[in-house]
Amino acid sequence: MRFYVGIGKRIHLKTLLKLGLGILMLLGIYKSTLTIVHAASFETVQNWSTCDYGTTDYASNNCTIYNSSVYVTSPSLNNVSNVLIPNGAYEQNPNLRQNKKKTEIYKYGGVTDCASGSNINLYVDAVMGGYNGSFADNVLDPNQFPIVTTRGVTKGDLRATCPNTWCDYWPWLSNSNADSQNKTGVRISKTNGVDIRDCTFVSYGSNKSVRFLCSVPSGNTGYQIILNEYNNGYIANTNLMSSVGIKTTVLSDPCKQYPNDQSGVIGSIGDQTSSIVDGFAGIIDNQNVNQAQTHQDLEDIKDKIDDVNDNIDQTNDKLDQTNDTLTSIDENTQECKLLTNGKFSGYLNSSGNVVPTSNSYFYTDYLRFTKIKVINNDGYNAPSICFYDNNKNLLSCEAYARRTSFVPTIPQYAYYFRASLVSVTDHKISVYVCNGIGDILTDSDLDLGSGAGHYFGDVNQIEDTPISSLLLLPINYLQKLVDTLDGSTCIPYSVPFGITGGDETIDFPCIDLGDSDHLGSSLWGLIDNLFCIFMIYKVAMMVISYFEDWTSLHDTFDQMYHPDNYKKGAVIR
Amino acid sequence: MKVIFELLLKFIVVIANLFLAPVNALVANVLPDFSQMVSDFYRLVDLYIGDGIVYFFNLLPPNCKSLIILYLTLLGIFYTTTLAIHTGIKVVEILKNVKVW
Repeated sequence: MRFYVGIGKRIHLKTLLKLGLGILMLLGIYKSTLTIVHAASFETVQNWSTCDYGTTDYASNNCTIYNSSVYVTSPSLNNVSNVLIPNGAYEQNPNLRQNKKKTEIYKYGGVTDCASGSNINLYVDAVMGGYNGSFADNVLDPNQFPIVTTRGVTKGDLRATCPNTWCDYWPWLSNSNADSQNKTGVRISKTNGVDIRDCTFVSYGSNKSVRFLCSVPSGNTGYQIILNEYNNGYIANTNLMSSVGIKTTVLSDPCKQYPNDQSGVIGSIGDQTSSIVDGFAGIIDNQNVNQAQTHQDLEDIKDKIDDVNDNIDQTNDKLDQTNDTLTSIDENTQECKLLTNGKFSGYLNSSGNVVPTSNSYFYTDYLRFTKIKVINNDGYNAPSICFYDNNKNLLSCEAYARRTSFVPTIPQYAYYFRASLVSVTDHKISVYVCNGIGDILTDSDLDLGSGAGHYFGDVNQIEDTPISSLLLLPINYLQKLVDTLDGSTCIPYSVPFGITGGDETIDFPCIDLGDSDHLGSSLWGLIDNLFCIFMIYKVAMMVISYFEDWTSLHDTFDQMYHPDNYKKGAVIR
Repeated sequence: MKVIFELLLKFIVVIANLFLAPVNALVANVLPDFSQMVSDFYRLVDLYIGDGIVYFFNLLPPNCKSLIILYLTLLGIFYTTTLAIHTGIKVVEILKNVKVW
């Protein structure tokens, strides 16, 4: 049965039914997918304000972009005495070395017993990591040293300006000496974060470091070093901060600076293990072996030593189990949330360009996205963005976020992120948003906004052409196919699945079928040619069939080559 | 051949976008949620099918790729020619039916 439809095009009833069923199936699949994705996505809590990136709307507390401070998340400023900065050495984040999934955080701090007396004076050298993974010196590994710290600051705290030739290394430094400009520098404070004193900018080091002179006030048993970051509106598009290293050099210390191993603070799990083992060793020592006078006594002592060693082994086994448990707990309670539904995934090729997957919004080597609102935030510590490779190893964390309000008492902030990737190797990138310090990040804390697609990537155009996108889908795939066939190299294919909407993936590796081990040898040449021809034939027949069904092209052929007795104008037959 | 194919696809896309521009604008402005859904759907399909196609065909040996692209080019030329002839026939028929009083 055929109908005339619209302008007179004939369509098979069968085709209509197929089309309808196809649409229903697509809608069903889409609905199911939506359900999965939605369940895995962060809920939208509030409507997002209408502010846009780059808008200056200071009065409304919504969009104070250019004039706002840049908050770098960080290393926890709590319990700073857990980690000491070794005097005279650059320090990396031990937490990240131990557990790369854990992005919190680093503590720049020191412990002293200087209850009274003169101040402790020290240099603080900060080294900037290049946005492309190159460090100013080779001390730090950018893949193991994500962004450090700062906390909320007010205008005018800081002191350093960058010479124009060095602004590439310190892009957030002001390039102006004007007092009205916010500047970047270092502060020092008590471990509770109060009584902050600014450090004095001293000089630039030969390794592109910036040196500050700090003074720990007397009467303090601990201090922390805070690297403040300011932004006066100058942001270099090609140089974004990626990593920072800190080195301290104590100049005058009237008191005693505790070295790391005598700080008396809680050490790592490994430290606890060794201390318990040492404890058993002490028991062994107390057996008073030297007083054993008979062979039997020695045998007894050996047996006891064996028993003790067995106990040590058992204890170590238990400690290992405990460590595993703790690690597991830690993984389950990490403060980072994957930005689900794959919005921020892409491949970073060897040229340093991000090859986006279909859902990603990367620019070349930058990630810009807006409308991430962290509700449960204390107003001081901004969330950060962390990049992980395909094996979920941390590549880097960025916190180049701008807060939309200066009012710290308002627990709702919006952060505008501009993040760059440190690594330039081939990685599948996953992006997480990590909470600031002292806050628990829940799904409902992240508000991607109703217009979460407000990005600055060119993928955005899809939303403006919904009908074209749908209708031209086969054409786009054809174009993609042609591009693929034109000598492109294999890209590993990761298919996200599971209830987390992308946290788990099935990874398909690259296989070079053209090499001699597969189909490319002389023996297999004929076989793969035949195989290709056969495959092309089958695929072509399928494509033609679907294409003709889809376009009703066989009707066209009918019209072109209808028999002589064909009656024009038949509406139904 | 790739150039021919790309020109052909580009021509189709341009023509389609030209005709669909008003519809796109209407849908995008009047039905923003629908537009978003379409966009999400597009991305999902692209992720699961588009990237899969790319992965699969990238696995093939170069000679196989060359054969495929040759075939696709010929296929495209065939359909384009067919449609052009059909359109021409239609136009001629319409012109034949035009009566000038």
